[in-house]
Amino acid sequence: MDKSVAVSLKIIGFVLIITSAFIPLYAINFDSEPAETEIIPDNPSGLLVSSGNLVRVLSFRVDYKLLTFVGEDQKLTARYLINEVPSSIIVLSATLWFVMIFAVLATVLGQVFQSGGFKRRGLIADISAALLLLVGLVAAIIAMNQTLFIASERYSAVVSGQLSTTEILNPITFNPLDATPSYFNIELIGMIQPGFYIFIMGIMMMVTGIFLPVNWQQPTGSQMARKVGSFGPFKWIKHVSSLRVTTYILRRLLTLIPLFIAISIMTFVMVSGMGDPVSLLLLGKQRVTEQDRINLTRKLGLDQPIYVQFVMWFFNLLHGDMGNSFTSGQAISNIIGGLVWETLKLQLAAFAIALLVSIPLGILAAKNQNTWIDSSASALALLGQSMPIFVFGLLLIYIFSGYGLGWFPAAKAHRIPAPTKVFSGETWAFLGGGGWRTGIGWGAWWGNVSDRLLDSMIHMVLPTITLTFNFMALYTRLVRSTMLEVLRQDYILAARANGLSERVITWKHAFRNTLIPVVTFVGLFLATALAGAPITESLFTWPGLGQKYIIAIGFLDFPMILGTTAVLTILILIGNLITDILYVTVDPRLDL
Amino acid sequence: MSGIIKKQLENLSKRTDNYMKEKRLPNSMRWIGSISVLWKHYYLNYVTEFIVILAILFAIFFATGSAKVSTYAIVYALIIASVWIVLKIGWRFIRASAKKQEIIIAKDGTLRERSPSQWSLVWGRYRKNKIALVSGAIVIIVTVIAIVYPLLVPYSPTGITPLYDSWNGGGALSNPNLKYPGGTDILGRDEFSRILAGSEVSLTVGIFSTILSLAIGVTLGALAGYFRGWTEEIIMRLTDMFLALPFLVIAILAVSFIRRGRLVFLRQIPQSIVIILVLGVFGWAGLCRLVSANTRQIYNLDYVNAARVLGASNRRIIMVHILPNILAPIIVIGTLAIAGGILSEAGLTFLGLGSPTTISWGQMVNEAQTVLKTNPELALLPGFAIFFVVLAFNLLGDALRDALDPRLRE
Repeated sequence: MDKSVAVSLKIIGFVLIITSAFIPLYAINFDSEPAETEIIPDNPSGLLVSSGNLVRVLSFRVDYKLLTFVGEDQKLTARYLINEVPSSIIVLSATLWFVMIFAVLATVLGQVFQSGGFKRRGLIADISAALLLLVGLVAAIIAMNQTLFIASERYSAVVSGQLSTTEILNPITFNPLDATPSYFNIELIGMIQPGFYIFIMGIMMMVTGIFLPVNWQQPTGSQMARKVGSFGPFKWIKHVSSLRVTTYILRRLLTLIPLFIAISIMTFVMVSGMGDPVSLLLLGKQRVTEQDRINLTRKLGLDQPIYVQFVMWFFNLLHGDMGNSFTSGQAISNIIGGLVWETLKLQLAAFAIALLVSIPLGILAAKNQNTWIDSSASALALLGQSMPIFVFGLLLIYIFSGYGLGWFPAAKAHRIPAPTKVFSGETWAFLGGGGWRTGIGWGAWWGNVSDRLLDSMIHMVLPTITLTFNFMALYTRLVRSTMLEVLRQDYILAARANGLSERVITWKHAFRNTLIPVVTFVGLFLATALAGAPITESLFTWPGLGQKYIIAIGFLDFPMILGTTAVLTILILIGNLITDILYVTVDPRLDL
Repeated sequence: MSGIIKKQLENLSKRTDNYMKEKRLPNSMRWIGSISVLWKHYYLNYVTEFIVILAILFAIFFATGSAKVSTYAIVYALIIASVWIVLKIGWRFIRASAKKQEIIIAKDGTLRERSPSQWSLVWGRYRKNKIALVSGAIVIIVTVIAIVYPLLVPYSPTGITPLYDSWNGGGALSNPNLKYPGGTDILGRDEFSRILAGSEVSLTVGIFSTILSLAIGVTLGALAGYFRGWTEEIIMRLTDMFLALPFLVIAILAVSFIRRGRLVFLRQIPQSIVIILVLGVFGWAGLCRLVSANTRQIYNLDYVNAARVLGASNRRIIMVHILPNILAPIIVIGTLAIAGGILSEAGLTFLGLGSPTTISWGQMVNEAQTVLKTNPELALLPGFAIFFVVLAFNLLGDALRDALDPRLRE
């Protein structure tokens, strides 16, 4: 590995840590308005709503989107429609989550498989580096969950002018049906600290830089700085600017920005020309006047010229606001935050299984070239490549689902209704999400978590098999052809001539070199997987990005379509960037 | 010494000249002779086989007792037997079309072995591969079916004649039987006819979208690889943009933009042409990168420099010297892109973006999802039709890669 990679990672990490100190703490202050709060009583026919009596609230609990008031004899649940957590935080968290996963993958794999890594510092250093990184990842996830939950944990309520906090001594009285006096005003006061994420990122990058196996004999990047030979901070600046990898990454990052803008413009023009959502929304309504039409057009912002619409949309996007859905009125970033996780849960599981299956299969096929093993592996790969996803999925549904054996469910992601939290809420509670703090108790909490885990895993089986079959084809072919190429190299011949055993040659010499293209494939996976999501998800009615996207197209829900496309594009661009960086990192022969 | 050798060589060449002359028939007789020889040798086998197949099929068809089948028994038997014989003769010709070592007499009178052309070498390698021949045959057969399917379908693929035939195996959602080999769908249309007819859209979309993306990708790629500097920069950024698009998502968007958008004149475009345009316009980026990389590689070779020194224009260098040399990967990628195009078309129509008047395999699967429990064949038959066609194109692509450039073999 080039020294400059490690040094630049360290420097970037250092800069991030310094920056994180200057980012102030956020204090979120959200006010709900009566119009945006929809009261859903648990007991619809109860006295509570119909009579319009005052309700004495003994206590209340604020969950992510649910507001529960416990009255004297009834329980009242209010759905809280305003976004408690700013959408920018959700987008930021999701992005950081992916960046972290890829960073860890790249680092650990690079750590383990880069030649010379073991020899120089020994196994213990490697393992401790990997452990450190894992600890960093877990810490980051916990921190993220904590910050998201803090928003819903400390609150104070203002009911009819009385301020109350969590420790309510006096029961509050309020009337949900009365318009004027008894509106309630929940203030969620939380501390969101993006600086903390950046701090974690910086730590991880520094650790990565420190533990990277570096070829110290050939310092390429720092030679210029050494020749200049100055001291002080100028030396560092010269050092950084002369690092080829740093400049390459920065250059790539700069090219991504116009790329994203161009794609956004194209998408926006197509979406705007797709039809008239106003008449679709007013369809079936009675006594629609021209004024209603004009009002709705103005409310949706469609009366502006298209370039103004685009600039407004893009400006809001940069601030983490993707607008509100035309059909449901919810903030798009809140909707997408949950959907991205559902989609990626499926895709990442399929990806992992496909890698686990196809790497041994490809190596086996390459080792036994032109035998029945090779031809059957190739046939399997060809089958997976030629089979349309939906046909294989339908076959699986017909055999294993309710029509046939009835082993696995064929539709939906969950059967047990879940509290809708970012990253599926309760499943992450064991990482410090605060599931036990809501007062359910450990036993109930564990029962909920295990039920939900089992439930979602059973639902994942069929879609995962379908996707795995599709991904596996690509990876098996890739691994097989790379392995064949590597086995033909001279150094394998040399190793064989030196009398090394076949096992050592395969796993120590050939396999590591085979992994270079496979590792760089990780970034490209995002593009192939996410673009194919609509088909799988609408086949299995999986509540992910793809299925909701199709639905949004049907309803001409412009912000939803634009938001989905933007998120997918950003993910793909990040994947491409990571691929480029990995290419440069694992193969120093490339000229930049 | 040298004189003797010269004399001997002269004699040798004279002798071979005479030998060749004796062996050679007059020009007017050559082809007739070869045909007659061929006929004498092979015709008897084939005629016997043809008659036997004809007789057996006629007997079987006649014995079915069905009025329609026994009336046209001889016609069906004739068609099947002649297709069988044509395929068999064709297979034999293909297998036997080995390029014999060709000895020619050069202008200076010496005897030389003609070096085989590149395409004959490719054909020689292709011919040895049985999978390649079979997949090529499947592709040809499917293409023929896609063209002449109106002659082959027993019922109209859009008509609902079988719906009124429920006493004889018809009706809506009937299971497969001899009269309706694929069963009938929800509206009472013959599934078998629809599957035959669906090949038209699939192949049209696959082939023409590939041609479109080839036209865009090869042009831009060759320009980017040949003219460096700003041209390359602009084209490669454009390529980056198209590569970063989530393909299917944007395709869905574009199809619905064209089919039901505000621009009314766009709605007049037929469904299959819309999909061809969308797949072609959004699918060229990978090809463009490949072509530009290959062009850049060849750009620095000596013969291109020689051509440039001799004063060849840029257009001539690109068209004559560069493009023919990067044809092999283009053909292979093109064949695989046809398979990809068929899959994408099926995916788009499966998602419900097809028009109800167009017959498409993906749409048939989509429509049959609701009756999967009772009539799984309605979904699985068109699904497997897609699978087999795509498989044939994938196999063909692999075989072409092996044949065109053995170095590219995995």
